[in-house]
Amino acid sequence: MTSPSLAEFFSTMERFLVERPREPTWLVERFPGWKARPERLAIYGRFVEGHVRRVTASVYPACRELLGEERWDSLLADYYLTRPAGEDPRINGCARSFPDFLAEREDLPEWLAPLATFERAKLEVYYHPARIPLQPEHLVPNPTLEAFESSWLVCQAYARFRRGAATPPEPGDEIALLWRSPRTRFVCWRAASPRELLALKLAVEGISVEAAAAAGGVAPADVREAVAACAREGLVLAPAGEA
Amino acid sequence: MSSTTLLGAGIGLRREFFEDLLASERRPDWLEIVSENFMGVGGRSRWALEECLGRWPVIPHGVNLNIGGPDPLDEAYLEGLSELVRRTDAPFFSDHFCYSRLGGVYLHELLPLPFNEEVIAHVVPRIRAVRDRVGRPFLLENPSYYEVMPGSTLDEAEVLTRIVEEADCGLLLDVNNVYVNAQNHGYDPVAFLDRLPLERVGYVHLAGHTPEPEAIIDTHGAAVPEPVWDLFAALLERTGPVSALVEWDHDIPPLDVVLDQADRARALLTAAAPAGAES
Ligand SMILES: [Fe+2]
Repeated sequence: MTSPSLAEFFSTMERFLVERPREPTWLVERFPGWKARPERLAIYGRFVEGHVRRVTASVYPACRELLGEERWDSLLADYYLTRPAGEDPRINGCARSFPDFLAEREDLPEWLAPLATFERAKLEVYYHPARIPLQPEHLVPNPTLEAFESSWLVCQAYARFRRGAATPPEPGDEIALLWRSPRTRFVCWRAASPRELLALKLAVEGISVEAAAAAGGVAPADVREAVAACAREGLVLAPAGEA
Repeated sequence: MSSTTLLGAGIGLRREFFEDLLASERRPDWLEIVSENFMGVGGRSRWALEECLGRWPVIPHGVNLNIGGPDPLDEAYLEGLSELVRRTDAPFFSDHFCYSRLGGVYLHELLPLPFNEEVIAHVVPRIRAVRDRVGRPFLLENPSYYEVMPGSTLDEAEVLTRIVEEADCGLLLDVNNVYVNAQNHGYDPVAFLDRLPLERVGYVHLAGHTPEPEAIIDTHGAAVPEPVWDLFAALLERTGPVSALVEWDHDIPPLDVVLDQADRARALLTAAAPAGAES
C-alpha cells in the first residue's frame, strides 16, 4: 500500500470519527491496500460515540427518563453530530452543551431544556472549584451557588424524579438555587422562596439584619431566623456564632 | 526521584472508593488518579485527594495529553497537569502512546497511531516538551489497539522502544494491554516483552479485559485474568520488583475486591525481590 502521511491519516480519521459517523468499510477504502478488518474499526466508532452517550445519560438522568428510551436514543444520535466533546479534556465536558442543543430544537417539549439546565447546574456545582469558607468574616453566599430563572417548575419535577415518580415539570415561574453542602459536599437544590431570597440579598449586598428588617417592615428576629435557617443548609455562610 | 521509584502495589482512586478507602484498615501501597478527574475541580474529589495525599504516594495518570495527535499540545491542559503534579508531589506522571483529540475536539478514547518513522519523529519532541513543561519524569503507556493503522512500516515493540529511548522517558507497561494485543494480533506476549527496554519500566498496569466476538476488549471491568498474572510473573523474572497498579474502571466492585488484587500483585513483587532485599 502507498503510505499515507500522518496528516492524511488524521484528517481521514477525523472524518470517520468526528465529522459524522461513517461505515468502517468507508475508512478501509480510503487507504488502498490496507488490510484492516472493518469489524475491528467499528469498535472505535462505537467507543467514541458511546462515551458521549454514556456521559450525557449519566448527567441528564431525569431528561432521559421523561423523554423515553426511543426518543432519547435518536436525540443523542443528533447531539453526537454537534461534536459535543469540545475543548474540555474532562470527560463530563462532552455533556456540557446538551441544554443549549436542546434549546435550539423546536421539536421537543419546552420544559426539556430548563430541566437539562438544572441537571447541568447540579454537575457544575458538584465539581465547582471554589473552596467553601467555613469561618467567613461576614455573611457570604455559598461560592458554589448557581441560580437560574425558568418558566417551568423544574425543582419539583426533579424531586419527583428522585422519588421514582417522574412527571414533566409544570409551567410556573421559578428561580432554581443549587449549591454544594459544606458538610456533605453533595449538591443541595431548592426553588427560591422569599426566605432564601432575603438571606441571599443580605449576603450579596452586605445589608445588616436591622436595615433589612426596617426596609421590609418585619421584625429583626424574623430576618435573623431566615438567615440562620439558610446558613444551616449552607446556602449562605455566616461567621462563627452567627448561624 | 527517578522514574523507577519503587512504590509497591497500588490501586486506582475512584470516587466509588473515596469514603471506604479512607475508612479501611487495609492499605494499598500507593494510588493512581486519572489526572483529568482532579484538574481544576473542588468538592468531594479535591477533598478525597487531599486526604489521600497525607497517606499515600499519588501518581497522576492522564488520558487526554494527546501526545500523538495533530493538534498542538493544549497549553491550558499542561497548566492544569503541572499544577496537579506539583500538588501531588508525584515522582513521575504518565499518559498513553495514542491520540485522543481531532480538530480541537477531545474524543475521550485512546486511539491508535500508525507504527512508522513519522510518528516517532512527531511524538519524541512532544514528550520532551511535556516533560520539560511539567518538570518531572514522564512515563509512556503502551495502549491496546484493535487494528494496525494504515501507513505502518514498523511494529509496536520497535516504535515504543525507539520513542522512549529517543525521548529518554520511562515506560508504563500495561501487562494486560500486551496480553490483549498479543491475542488480538496473534503474537507471543513474552517475546514482545523481550523486545522492550525493560530497564525503563517505571510501573506496570494490571487489569481485566472482556472477550467480544470481534476482539478481546481492554475494558478494565473485571479481575485480572490468570494469563495476565502469568505474564506479569514473566515480566518480574526479567525486571525484578517494579511498582504495580491494579486498574478497575468499569463495573467497579467493592473496594476489598480491588485490594485483594493489589495484595496478589504485592505477593508477586515480594517473591521477585532478591533474597534479603526489601521490595
Ligand atoms: Fe493501562
